[in-house]
Amino acid sequence: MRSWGARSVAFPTAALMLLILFFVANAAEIDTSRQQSAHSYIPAGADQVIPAYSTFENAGGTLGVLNADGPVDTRGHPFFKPLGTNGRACVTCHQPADAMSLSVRTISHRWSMNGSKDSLFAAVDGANCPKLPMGARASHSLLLDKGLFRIALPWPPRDSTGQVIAPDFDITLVSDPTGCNADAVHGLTAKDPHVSVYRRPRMAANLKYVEPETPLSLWHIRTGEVRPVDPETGHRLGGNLMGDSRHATLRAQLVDAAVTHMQTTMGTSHPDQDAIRSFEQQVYVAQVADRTGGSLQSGGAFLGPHAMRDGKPAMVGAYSARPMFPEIEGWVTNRVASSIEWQPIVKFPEFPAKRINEEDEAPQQRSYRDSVARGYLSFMYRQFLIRNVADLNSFIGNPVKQTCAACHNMVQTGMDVAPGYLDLGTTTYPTAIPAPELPLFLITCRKDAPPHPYLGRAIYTTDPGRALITGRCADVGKVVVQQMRGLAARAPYFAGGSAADLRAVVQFYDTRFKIGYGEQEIADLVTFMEAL
Amino acid sequence: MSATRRMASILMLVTSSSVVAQAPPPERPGRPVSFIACPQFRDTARQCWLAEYEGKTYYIGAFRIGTPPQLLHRVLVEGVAHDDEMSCGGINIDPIQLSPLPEIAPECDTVLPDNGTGPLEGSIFDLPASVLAQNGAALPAPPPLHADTVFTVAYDFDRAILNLPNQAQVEMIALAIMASSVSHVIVTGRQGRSRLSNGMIITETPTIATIRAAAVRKALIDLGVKPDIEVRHLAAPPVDAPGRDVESRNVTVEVKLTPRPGQ
Repeated sequence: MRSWGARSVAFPTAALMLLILFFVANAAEIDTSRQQSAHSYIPAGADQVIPAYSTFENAGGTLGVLNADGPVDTRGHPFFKPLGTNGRACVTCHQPADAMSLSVRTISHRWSMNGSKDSLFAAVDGANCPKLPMGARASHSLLLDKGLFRIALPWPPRDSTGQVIAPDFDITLVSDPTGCNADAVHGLTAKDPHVSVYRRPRMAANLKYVEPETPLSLWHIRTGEVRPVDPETGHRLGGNLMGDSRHATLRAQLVDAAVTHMQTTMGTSHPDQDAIRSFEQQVYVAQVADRTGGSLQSGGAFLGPHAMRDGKPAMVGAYSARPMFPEIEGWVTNRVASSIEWQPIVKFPEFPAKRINEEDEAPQQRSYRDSVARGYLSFMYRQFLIRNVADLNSFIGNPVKQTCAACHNMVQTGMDVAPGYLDLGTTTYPTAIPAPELPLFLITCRKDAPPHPYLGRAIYTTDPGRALITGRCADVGKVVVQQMRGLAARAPYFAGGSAADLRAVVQFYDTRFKIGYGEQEIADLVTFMEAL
Repeated sequence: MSATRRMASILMLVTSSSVVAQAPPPERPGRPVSFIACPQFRDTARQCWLAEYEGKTYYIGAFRIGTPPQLLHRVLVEGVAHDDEMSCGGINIDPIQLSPLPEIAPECDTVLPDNGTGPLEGSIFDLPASVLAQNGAALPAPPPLHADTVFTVAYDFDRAILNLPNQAQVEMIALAIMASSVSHVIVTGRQGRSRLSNGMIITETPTIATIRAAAVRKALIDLGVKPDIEVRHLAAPPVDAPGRDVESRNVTVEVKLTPRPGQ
């Protein structure tokens, strides 16, 4: 299915589509003049113009995608053209309709259309292991079922100059359902040993927050290391890029992606790198409408990609003094706040008595906005004991009485400014959601090395995370905290795709920290996150 | 100062590169204590930490940034106890030095219920706004050096991480080097020891001096200091070495700066 602006679509067809959209838009009484199907997939090598602003339907409502620098011509653009030998481009896994990530819904759609011939399912990482037969669905089950790509990392790790880092732990393969880690060519005992882990693609949008020009602090305050300098720009680097922060700059990331995901043999030219980086840095995405509650940009709320464009990166939230998501504040009223049954960590400020034009809200819309507001208050103010999170608890006490916003502390994104590799327990046992389809590793830390602060020296994990880059036992399970934007467009969640939906995310933390959420509060938190 | 303002301030503290300089408190009489115990977390409105030693309950702090107590880890408590001062239901220790020990201790897992008590001292949230406002600001440039100067970076026992106060200290040293014409920088890591109240002497991990010195050297270079820094490591002297003070902690890295002649 071709998407908007495709040059190859004949004029009469395009005109008909516009006509249909005109009527649909008016029927819905919202601005959907550019609204498109959720399957507006942009294939590698697409020849079309992407508008400055587009919207896409998803399970929760509508996602807004803003190209802040104006319309983008994909023809020949290095983000959209294949850079390697397997036919993939950056856009293959970073789709605008999926908040510049990739949902399982889209992956399934591509499989139903093209099967394994689609470059998305390239053997290198779109299969559970390259040695598996490519035509079989089972060979791509991790991608199809959980949206996971294979990430093959050298073992032992190497630093940025290629020097081997002596790890302070050993890896034992406990189970290997994909067969890749035990494989003689691809595995840990191969001539060129690699560890295969399986991860979700991150959003290639809102990147001024991910790679800010000026991080909040000179130091990585939790590890006591000075933040490195980007030799190209002279800026201190934030450390929030990629799930394991293995590359600190977008340029390094995209050069690596061209090799590992697109299988380029020619390298990536500097002008292409510049063009990709420039494109990625001007794309902003966020949800703009909800199926039930309507526009997220009315009644005092101003959610959406324009607010992302206008926000300031690397700001730490601080309750009412610096709200985490200021775009939602307008929906919080004293009526909503007074209905809260839990004890907030600090006293609520005085909220307005009612929302802008609240008297005009339909009952369903009022209920929706109240739910978003309650979920937001829970996220920011509801205290519980946070335990055994390396590095957070090592820094402020284990346990510490805090809120969701302790880890998800960056204003407008919910990332961690610090920077944010933490072991929240999503990939380490006993807290991880069981994932028998993934490899299971036993990490055994050497006696003379600092242990993992809460899991000790024998750790079971499906993905050692940051430790595969640093070789440190104490880093096992650490994953960079992700953005919380465009969530409705890009299920499943967590780095290992272990939460099928947002309810599963909330339930994971409810179990993990023994919070004791009620059904209404879970629903409110889901509604709140879907609105982002 | 409103609660929300205070919380804003504390979060700024958590994420800031430098810490607020505070005058050392006046010395008060008291009973020196040094012991290793399991910390206990009291889940009060203002959370606080306690530890039991030889039948007494001690208060060892409230919300704390940097190297706070950790359940699942024992903690080395060093300080001066004041038996006539109670805080959060425990004997107050002031000043206090806490060093969570790195090894896992599963038996240290006590969360006590809220009993309505609270910490004696003011909250970090209560620092004057004018003081908090300085937090995160660039450190002032130190005056030029005219003689050999030794800076000390004091660590937590048996830990090699540069905690928040240490980060500010290393940053200050880097500024001092870059503000002066320094001919020689020597970073000396030390392996320390401590005598506990029960007479036992504990010694840090043998490799800690090397690791600390390397970390400080790397931080100085990353902050802009030229890499020709001499690094030395000193093991803890034997306990029975003549003339040695076995109670001297030496849980430190020292950085000696030698200005060029004529500075």
